[in-house]
Amino acid sequence: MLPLLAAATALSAADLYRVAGVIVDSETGSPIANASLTLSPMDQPHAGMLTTSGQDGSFAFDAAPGKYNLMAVIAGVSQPFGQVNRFVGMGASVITGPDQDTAHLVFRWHRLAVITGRVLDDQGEPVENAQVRLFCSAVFAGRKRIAQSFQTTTNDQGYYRAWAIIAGPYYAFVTAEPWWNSQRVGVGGSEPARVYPTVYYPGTTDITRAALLAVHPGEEARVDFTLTAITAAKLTVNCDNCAPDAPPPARSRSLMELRVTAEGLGGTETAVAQRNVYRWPVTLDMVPPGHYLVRVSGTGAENPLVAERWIDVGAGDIAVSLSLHPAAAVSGKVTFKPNVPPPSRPLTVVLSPELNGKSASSTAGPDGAFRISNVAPGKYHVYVTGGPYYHTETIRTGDHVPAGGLLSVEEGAESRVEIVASNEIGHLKGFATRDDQPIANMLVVLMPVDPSSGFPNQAFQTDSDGSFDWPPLPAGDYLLFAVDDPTIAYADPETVKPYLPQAKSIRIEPGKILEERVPVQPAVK
Amino acid sequence: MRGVWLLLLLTGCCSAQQGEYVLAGSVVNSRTGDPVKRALVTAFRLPTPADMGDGPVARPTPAQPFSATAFTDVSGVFRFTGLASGTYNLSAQKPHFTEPPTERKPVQIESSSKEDVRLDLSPLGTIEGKITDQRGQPGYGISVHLMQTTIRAGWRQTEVVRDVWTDDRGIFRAWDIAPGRYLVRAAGRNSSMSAYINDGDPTNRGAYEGYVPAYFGGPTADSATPIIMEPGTEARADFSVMVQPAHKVRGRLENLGTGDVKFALVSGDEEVGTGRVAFNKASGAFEMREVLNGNYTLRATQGNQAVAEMPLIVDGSDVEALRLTLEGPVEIPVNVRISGQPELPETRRESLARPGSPESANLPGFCQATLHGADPGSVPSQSRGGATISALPGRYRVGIFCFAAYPVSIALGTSDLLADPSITVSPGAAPAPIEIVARHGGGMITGAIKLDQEPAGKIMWVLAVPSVSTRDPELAPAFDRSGGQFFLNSLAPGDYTLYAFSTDQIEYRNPEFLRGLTGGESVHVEDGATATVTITRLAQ
Repeated sequence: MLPLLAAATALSAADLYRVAGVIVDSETGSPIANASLTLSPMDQPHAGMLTTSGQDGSFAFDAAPGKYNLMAVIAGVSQPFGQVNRFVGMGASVITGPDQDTAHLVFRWHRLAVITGRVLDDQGEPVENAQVRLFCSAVFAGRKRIAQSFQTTTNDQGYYRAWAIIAGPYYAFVTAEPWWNSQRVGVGGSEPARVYPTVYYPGTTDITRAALLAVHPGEEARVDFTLTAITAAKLTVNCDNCAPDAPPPARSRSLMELRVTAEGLGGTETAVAQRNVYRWPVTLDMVPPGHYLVRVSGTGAENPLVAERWIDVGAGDIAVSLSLHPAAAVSGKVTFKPNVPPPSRPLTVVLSPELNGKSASSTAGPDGAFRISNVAPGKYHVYVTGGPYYHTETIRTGDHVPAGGLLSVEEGAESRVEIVASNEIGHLKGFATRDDQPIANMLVVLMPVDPSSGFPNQAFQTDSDGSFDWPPLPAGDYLLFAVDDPTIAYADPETVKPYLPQAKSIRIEPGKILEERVPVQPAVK
Repeated sequence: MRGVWLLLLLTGCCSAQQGEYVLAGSVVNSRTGDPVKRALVTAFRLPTPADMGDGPVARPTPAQPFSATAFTDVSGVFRFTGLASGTYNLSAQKPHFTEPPTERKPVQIESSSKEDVRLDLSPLGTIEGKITDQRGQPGYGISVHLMQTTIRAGWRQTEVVRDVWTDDRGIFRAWDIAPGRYLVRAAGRNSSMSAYINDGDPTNRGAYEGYVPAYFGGPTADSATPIIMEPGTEARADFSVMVQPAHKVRGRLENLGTGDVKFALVSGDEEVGTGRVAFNKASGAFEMREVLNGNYTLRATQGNQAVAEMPLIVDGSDVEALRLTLEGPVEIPVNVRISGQPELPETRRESLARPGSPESANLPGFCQATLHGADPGSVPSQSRGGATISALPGRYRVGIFCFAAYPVSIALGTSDLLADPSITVSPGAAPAPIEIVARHGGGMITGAIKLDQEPAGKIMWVLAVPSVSTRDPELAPAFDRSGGQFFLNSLAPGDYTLYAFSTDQIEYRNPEFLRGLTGGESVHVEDGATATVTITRLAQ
């Protein structure tokens, strides 16, 4: 808890102010000695000051008035001041100056953890070079999603050690290949290869039974795995219309690419095979059981060609036949809001996937027309880059506004998008308050009223004085609210819904600075 | 569980069962004599004339496979059954073992089974250790290099043969280490180069401390304690490193082309930092972290296309605003003049081209220059057609190879490269040519090594050391199977001393090494003549 707006401690005639406090274990409150701390001006990150915490965890700097980034480094791992919990990395700036008490900071250090263990095969022998991956479920860019947070490999004794990880719940799983697969020598190999199926904590090959492993700060958790080799399935992929004499649209003599991707936890994807193909069919002979996306792509006469299908591989061999068709594309035109001049260079239109996947982009022509080819099916945010402060004002597909501002791309379809761009920006700053007093480490959320803007929700963790001060924002109408939990999935419509009734309606005018005081709402658990 | 993998992970074993014979034996740890369980044994039947068909390449059919594989059981026993008669090559494989470097002896099955085959596997070693700092804290994330000294073309060089890093406990472990002599070096914090795209702070990490590079046993390579690895050695290397205040070095790399950029910080002859760099490929901005106080050379290379280098002094604070400019390769003219060249019709050259044949002395000679970089991993640049040699700016050693000729003088400007082959290639400036003056012909030495006691190796080596230091020593092999015979040709006339060695790992470019040699045979070489020598002892 930060004491706020107490008396400032001016130390010298040169207007230096004390930035001081204590660094403590976030769980136990015990002081941490010998931590390295740096205080760097936000506008001059290289001009940092360095100190080391004392035996009582205390530290102190003297700094000119300004906005600072305070970091601590312990055992090579850095954490920002104000980091609220394990995965929220925004931190809070330290504001120095008159009327700011920065001499009594409490830097809550989140102690790290270790996950270690051993991977053995079903004969009790160590499995070397097994890939052990840790996935966490956390909020990234305002959305809760599962993502890989650590990867390591086993040594010759089968041991792995994931160290300096943030405490919290993890999915853990291991993939490996039997060592003798790479030793198959000589002529006449006719027996099927053997593979290790992926094993998830707590020892299951069924991804739906994968469980979270809770790792506490400072804990060294032990997770062992046993891998059992099974006969690998053969996956045979054929392309109906990839032959050189095939009828259009796939009448192409160019090289095709085959890519097989495994679906993992939380919809993540991992490429398991990728090869260039001249002749079909193609057989992959070491495919472990799993859910896979088989994708064939190549260059057609005019457009990229693609074919894809999800398949389930079990114990037996499997064959899949695909027909190429033109890949999905997004085309349209970028125009400008009345009285907004176009930038000196054409803008680039970017499709950013809602959750997992690859971004795609294309630069608009002088007339604003653009076309993004070879777009994977899915939902995308649409935005523009390439000119100072230019942003999407509205997005329309025909007469419709895409639901939630997200463009939905269907397989093989051509989507048309009309984008109105603007460079009108304004500023928003203020304080999150409780009982009308500014309060640090709160989450202030800004949500555009018009979903056709395609502008995603924004969030700001308040600084040491309880303030927020956004970089330039698109002018327009927004809802603004503050929550006492900086970890919420602020870009998820369902998560923010309970806070909207008490949100403030604001309008950011072009070229103006709007100052707001936002009462903090308790987080909905 | 024995039956589970007694026999069969098979590649064609079953279809090989067309005969009545058994081929069995055991796989043994050559160091301990213990059985090696679950080793993979491959039996490869050598093709018979009947398999060969009409052509020289064996054509196996599904009914007539050539190989089978089986795992050993817990007693290290393997067993192939139902084999046809023939000659089989057997090999065994198992992680962390290697087959001893002896010739595989084929096993013949003609009229009876063979069940007493012994296959040896030699265990590889491990080196494990713990690194702490002067405060007793674990040295986490430290890059640990295993280094070996090897001799290449007579030059001694030390190479990093394995790179591992410590964990949060300061523990490192390297495995599958072949026998040999190793130095263990803590080379600072492990980190790969990171890319960033904005113009802000690339790292924002408070890396204000760094580890001083040190060796197991001492601060330098000379004071380090070598670890001698035998088969299966489990060596331990615990040592301490100093933590010191460290700084950041920032700047911009200019004249960027395409291709990956590598940064290196060189102190003396050692690279002390390569990975702790954040680099913005678009702008060329870079930041090197954890740089200790000291005098360095900062080097950036872009593949083999360009290099940039500058001296760097770090003294108590960050270094800002450096400008490094990448420079492309320089074309160095190579002029070769060979006197006494014979005139030979093109049609005869091929028939005379067998090296060492008396006729080969009548071939026109040629010479080419090679530049060897200081970096052991660098690819030497070679002159093509004797016209030019392309090299990035830097320091090199010039090597000259002549066929049917011997160099009389090699110069770069006023520098005598026969006396000192070191050159520095400067960026941009038009370099002076490498002038090679050679004379066609030269003398030949033939002979044989005949020792009382046969050495273990299959090849011995003869070193011909000229009496004048401005000529390079020559090294030639002497094969057992040819009765230890050797020859050296295109030698400059003069006096030589010949030494015999059982290895080519000899530092014959080092004058100090040459001065210490004893046990040689003296020989005089004349132009166009052949001297004969028999060597009966190994050099000391």
